[in-house]
Amino acid sequence: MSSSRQPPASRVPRPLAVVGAAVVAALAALAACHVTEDPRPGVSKRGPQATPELPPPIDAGVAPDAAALPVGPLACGARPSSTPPFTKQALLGAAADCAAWHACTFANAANVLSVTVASDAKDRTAESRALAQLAYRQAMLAWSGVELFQFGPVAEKVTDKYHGRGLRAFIHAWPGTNRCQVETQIATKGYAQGFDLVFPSARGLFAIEYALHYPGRDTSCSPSSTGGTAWAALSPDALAQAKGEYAVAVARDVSTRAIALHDVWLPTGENFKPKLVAADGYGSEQEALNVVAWSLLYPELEVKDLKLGSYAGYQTAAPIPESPFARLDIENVRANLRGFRSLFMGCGPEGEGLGFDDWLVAVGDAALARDVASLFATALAAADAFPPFQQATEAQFIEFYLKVRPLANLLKTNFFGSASSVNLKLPAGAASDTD
Amino acid sequence: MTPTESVLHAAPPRVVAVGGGGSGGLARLESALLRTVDASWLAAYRALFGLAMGVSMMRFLTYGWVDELLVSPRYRFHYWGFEWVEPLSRGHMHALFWALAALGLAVGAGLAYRLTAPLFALGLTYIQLIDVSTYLNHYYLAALLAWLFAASPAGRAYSVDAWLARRLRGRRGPPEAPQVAFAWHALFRTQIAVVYLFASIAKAQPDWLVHGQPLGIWLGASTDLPGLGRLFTLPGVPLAMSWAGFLYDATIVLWLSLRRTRPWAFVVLLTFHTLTRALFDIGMFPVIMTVSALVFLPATWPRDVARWVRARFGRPLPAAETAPADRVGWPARATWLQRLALGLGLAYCVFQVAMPLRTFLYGGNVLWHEQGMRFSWRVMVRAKGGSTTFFVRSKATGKVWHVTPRAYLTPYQENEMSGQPDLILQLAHTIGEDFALREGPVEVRVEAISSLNARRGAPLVDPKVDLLTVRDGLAPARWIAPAPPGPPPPIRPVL
Repeated sequence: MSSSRQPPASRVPRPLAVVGAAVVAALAALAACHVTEDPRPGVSKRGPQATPELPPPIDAGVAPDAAALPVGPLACGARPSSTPPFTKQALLGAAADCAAWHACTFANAANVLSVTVASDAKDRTAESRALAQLAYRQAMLAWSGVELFQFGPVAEKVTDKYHGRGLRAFIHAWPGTNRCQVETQIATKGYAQGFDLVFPSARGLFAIEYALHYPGRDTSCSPSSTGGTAWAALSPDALAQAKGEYAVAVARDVSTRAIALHDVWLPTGENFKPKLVAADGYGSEQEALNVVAWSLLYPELEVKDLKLGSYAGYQTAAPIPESPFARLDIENVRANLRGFRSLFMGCGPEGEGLGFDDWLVAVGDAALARDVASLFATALAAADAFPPFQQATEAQFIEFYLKVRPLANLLKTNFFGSASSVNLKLPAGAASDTD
Repeated sequence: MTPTESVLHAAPPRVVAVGGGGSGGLARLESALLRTVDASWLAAYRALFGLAMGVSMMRFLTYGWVDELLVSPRYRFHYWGFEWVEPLSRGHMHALFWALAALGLAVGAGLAYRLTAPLFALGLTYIQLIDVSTYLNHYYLAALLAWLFAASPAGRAYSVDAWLARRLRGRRGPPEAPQVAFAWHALFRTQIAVVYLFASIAKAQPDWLVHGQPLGIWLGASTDLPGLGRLFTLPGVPLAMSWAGFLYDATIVLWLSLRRTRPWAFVVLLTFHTLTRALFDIGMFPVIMTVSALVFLPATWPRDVARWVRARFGRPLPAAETAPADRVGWPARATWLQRLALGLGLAYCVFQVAMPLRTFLYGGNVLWHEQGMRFSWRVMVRAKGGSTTFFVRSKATGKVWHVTPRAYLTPYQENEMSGQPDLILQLAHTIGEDFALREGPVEVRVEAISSLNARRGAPLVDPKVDLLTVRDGLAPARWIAPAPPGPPPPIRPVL
């Protein structure tokens, strides 16, 4: 079109000119924002950030045996690993049984943790501290198995919008944990007003880990903040006392939450298993299976990207260590992967029992079940051979990452998603129409 | 009066000799298209379409899709040439959907039609242009129909506007039966027939007709459906249903068009769309298609229904309200304006046929490379998903970053992108620009593993290609990897 056909500027109607100017201004503002702000979470303009160096964890100097720990009050029995003929209802039932067993195991570990932390706060000896640290390790590893069972009331509302009550966040809020929030609670004793007022980022296993393992008297809060000011006012003895008291309170709260979690599955409690098996509230059996299966994405998002990707140098976001003070990161990953096996293959010690792999076989995609099992074995072997995170080189992280990635990719491409053999959806925020 | 209106309002309908208006095939076609028929079909279609659209907009608000699909995403995939389209603020977007719901109902009622119908079509088009990842065939169809309604004189008959006009003129008694040019009936019929025709062509491929996929996969999710669920697990049922779907799409227009088969065709149509609504999350699509199938009935169908109902209650229609087929009006001679309108209608039909056909120019498997996939009525024919990771490499240092789409996209967008190469390319460019700001010149490659109808995942995009060197366009995309060979696995539904 020739320019002579363009209307002269003076003939542009006034309202149109105003709208045009507004649009230009809005676009300019948008462009300015785009230049100065990166919308992506965790992306820093300053480039990759390293984890700040922390002193080694408190070493009590004694190494108690696990047998020295008290026994939890609950009788959890053996790992459920029965193999009834495959049906989707049987699969949901098996997942429920396995979740209940993991919850029971964790409830016992949390109870023991609460008892040992209370003893440590009272005795303040090397032995009591070592025992509490051991109890913490047991509880954390038990929890790392529970992580793979994020459905029903334990799940966040965004994960299980039908029954999720977010119990997890009060037990282990990683990667949403925050050291300064923990220190603020320790220094201000805000938690004395009731744990309902304490953010998930300041409580749970992370807070206990900090209190039991971090020897430093420094704080990550800014000096002018409430937490920073209160922290600076504490003497070393008062600080140790405050840390101990907070650890006791948090451990008691975690134990209470763990009992609530166990109660979810208890026939005499909330008895959630029949609801899950009947897909009660989920709308359909398939949707219940979707929600249960989403836990199997843990190796993709949490393990591959959050726990390994940053250390491998592949991510721009700074690492968010799960266990910065007790340094159990690799042990947690191993427990996560074994939790994956419990749900995907079966709850038995080596994956015996009914699992999602049986579903694949039933629909006619046994090859996919075999491939997932093979890639899982590779990833687990890599985890078992991996050194503690703080001793590993970037090259080792890269190698480990590249052994987990094929499993994650296969899950996301063929087990989940629109082309899934078993029609499992990926967790999408919007359950929109399709055509 | 616009050209399109002139076609519809060929003066007050006057009855002339059949065959008037010229000689020869073209002239006869022109004459046939310009003859006037009862307008009640158009009014009924308008009312039902407007109601369905009003409900559709309310669904977006009720289910939280306005926020989740349009407001919340930080990144948006743009249509070529529409990169400038951005969403409004959250408050304004909600207000827009409320307004569109009201406009849909106003269109249905025929209220201020010349204003509300174009505004509704414009709004519907705008929300679809915001993000390519929200593209659905039935949204596209709804937008096309909205524009056709906006161009048509559907508001002149059996509408609030018509009622008000009569009141203002002080006329009493029942209105005369309004008429519209048959061209409108032909245009709407062509639009709906095109949808069915190309939906059937899309199903004419081995996955659908030989392997019964992806229906075999999808039915697996509905085995708990009361009454029917167990049937889906029987051997051969998914394949039989695939064939039924193909034959339905290929022939339903014919059966609806023939008087003797029409009643049975409607029963089949209702059954088909009820079933698809029960089995799949296809929202308002069954409603839109059921309502749209009414265009294949005679133009007088609403009046026939009204006459039948009133006769049942002993209240026959007034004489002026009866418009039997023999009252069809024939124009003596077409004006240039009418010819222009007919030309526009013809161009529209040619475009609607050509758009889906463009797929065949690309060759290969369109379900894999997706070139020519949109706007082609390839409805519910592929199950496709995947995993995508972008590899960004600094040209200066050689350092490589792995970028997950999660850093930019919502889960819904990521899921949609994973099977659509042009969307992967768009995001690759954005990632490249972001990194270039911090790290200097970079290359962006992608590991996009995609699965089609449950086949084992294969690279969708050539992982060796630096996507920053690729520009999207209409030419065949050499950077898209070939489709994986072989049939899909024999997935069967189980209880």
